[in-house]
Amino acid sequence: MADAPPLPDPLPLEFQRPPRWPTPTLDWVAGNQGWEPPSGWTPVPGCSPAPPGWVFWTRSEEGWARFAEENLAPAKRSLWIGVGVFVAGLLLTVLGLAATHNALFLVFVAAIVAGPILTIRAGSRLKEIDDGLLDRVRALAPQYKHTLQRLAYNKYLRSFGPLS
Amino acid sequence: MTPEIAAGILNVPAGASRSEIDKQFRKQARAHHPDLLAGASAETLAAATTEFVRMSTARDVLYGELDRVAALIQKTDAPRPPRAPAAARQAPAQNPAPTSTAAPSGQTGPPSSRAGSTAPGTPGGSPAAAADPRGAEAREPQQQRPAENPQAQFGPRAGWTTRGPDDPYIRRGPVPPPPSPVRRTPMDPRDSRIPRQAPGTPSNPLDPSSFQYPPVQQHPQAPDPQNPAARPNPQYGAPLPLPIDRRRAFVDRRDPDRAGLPYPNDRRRAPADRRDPRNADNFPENRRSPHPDAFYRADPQQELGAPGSEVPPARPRHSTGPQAPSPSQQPDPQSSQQGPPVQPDQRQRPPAHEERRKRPASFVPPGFVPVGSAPTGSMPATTPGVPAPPTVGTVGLPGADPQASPMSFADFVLARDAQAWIPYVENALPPTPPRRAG
Repeated sequence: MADAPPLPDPLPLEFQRPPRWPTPTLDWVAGNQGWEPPSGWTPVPGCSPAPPGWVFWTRSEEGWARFAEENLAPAKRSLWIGVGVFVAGLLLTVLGLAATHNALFLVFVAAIVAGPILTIRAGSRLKEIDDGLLDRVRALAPQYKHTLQRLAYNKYLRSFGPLS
Repeated sequence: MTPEIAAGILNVPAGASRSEIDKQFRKQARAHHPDLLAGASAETLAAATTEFVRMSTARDVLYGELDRVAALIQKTDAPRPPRAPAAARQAPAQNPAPTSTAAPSGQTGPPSSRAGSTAPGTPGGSPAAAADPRGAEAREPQQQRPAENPQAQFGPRAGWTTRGPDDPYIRRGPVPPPPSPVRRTPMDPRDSRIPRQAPGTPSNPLDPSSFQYPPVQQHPQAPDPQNPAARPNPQYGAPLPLPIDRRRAFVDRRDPDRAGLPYPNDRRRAPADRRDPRNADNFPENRRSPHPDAFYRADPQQELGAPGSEVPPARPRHSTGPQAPSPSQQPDPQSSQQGPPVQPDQRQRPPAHEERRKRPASFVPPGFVPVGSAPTGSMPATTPGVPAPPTVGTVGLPGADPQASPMSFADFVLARDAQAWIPYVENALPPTPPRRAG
């Protein structure tokens, strides 16, 4: 039976502790990534609930970049391609016209126009993928949490020894 | 290699142009280039190299043939040298050389009379120029040209034109293209077309004597420890000491498996196996973040929570009930009769798996909450006055009591969540980010 999967290090999301709340352990933070407590939920009795609209999870700088790297790589590549097309078009147009005075180099003005368009599209796609990834983490958080709890419970059962 | 054979090698017609030769050469080079045979056997590579050299030679032969034909055409189609100017042509006429002016035996009249009969009264002018109806403007460039080449007008070669390539006198047409650059031999090592070969391989596979020895790498001069003054200047190639890694060794307090490694994510050292009983001491209860109250270890030889025990009885962290009296505060005549209590640090501690086996059934580590008495981590009760129903599982410690029956999954989840919160203390230091226990 498999144990719990290794936790990503660093974690992609950081827990924002509401005021006057106890501090969760790292295991809890790792096992509840993206889980939104229902309104009125308190970790311990006697604790005031979180303010309404409280954002519990924010992206960790390093951890989220590493977590989303695989998903964001194509969009980032498109972004750089757009920048490259723009720079190449600019250089070809300016240097070609200056060196040869040939009007054919005006063709590369199209690259100057297309480069920023590609860049803007890739940037919007980047943001869209990033937001979608965060929404997906939030949507899958209960399932992930339940899976981790089930694995830990199986481990707890195994600590009683083999079944007789 | 004849041009016909070369054309056959490159599969081009005999009179192929340079572009056709290039096209066929590239086409065949894509099929036979040795660089494309990475990983092939040595025989295949040698055969491909031979074929490539043969193609290069054939191309050079065809290029040379093209150059030769172009030179021939240029020579044939070159404009004929202009007629010598009148002054230059008259000079040999007036002073005829013995060979050129050898008159036929039947000619009786003097040469001067023949010249005078052709153009009387035109001193210094040729009869053609005199008869030219275009006038002086058309004749002028022909008369000015000898001034550029005085050798044609004066000197021993007056009247004759040189046919050298640099003679501006005869160059009338367009400037011929410069001669083709000198092509290196096909196996010139400086030729970038030749694939770079491993050292020691013959540069020309057709010539076994072209074996090249690999360059000998000079070992840096070692300093003499006995004579430091003779140590070579390190600025001139002497061996320098190894670069000092100025990176501070990274100590990850959260993961002891990676502590002390130079990089945070260095996984050169395999993590310890948690299932191995020899590593049980490193993984107490296989918990990665123990509760702050669980830092001390229970003595397995003593009954925990017993009157003679040094360990205080378990008190739930969030329990609101009164704290149980410490065993040290309770007088225990039996323990006083047995002698002074042994310090836990001085005892020989058994391995962790043995320790866990010897734990009594009533062992309740501190910091773990009886689920039935203090429900935590759950939604508040709908009815404020009604407490949560007590659950069967009384102790929320995973794997702490092997002799008891395991708790249900719901109890386990509640107990596990209850340990996951470090209490908030008013006016305390700001909470540090959570870290894994080292």
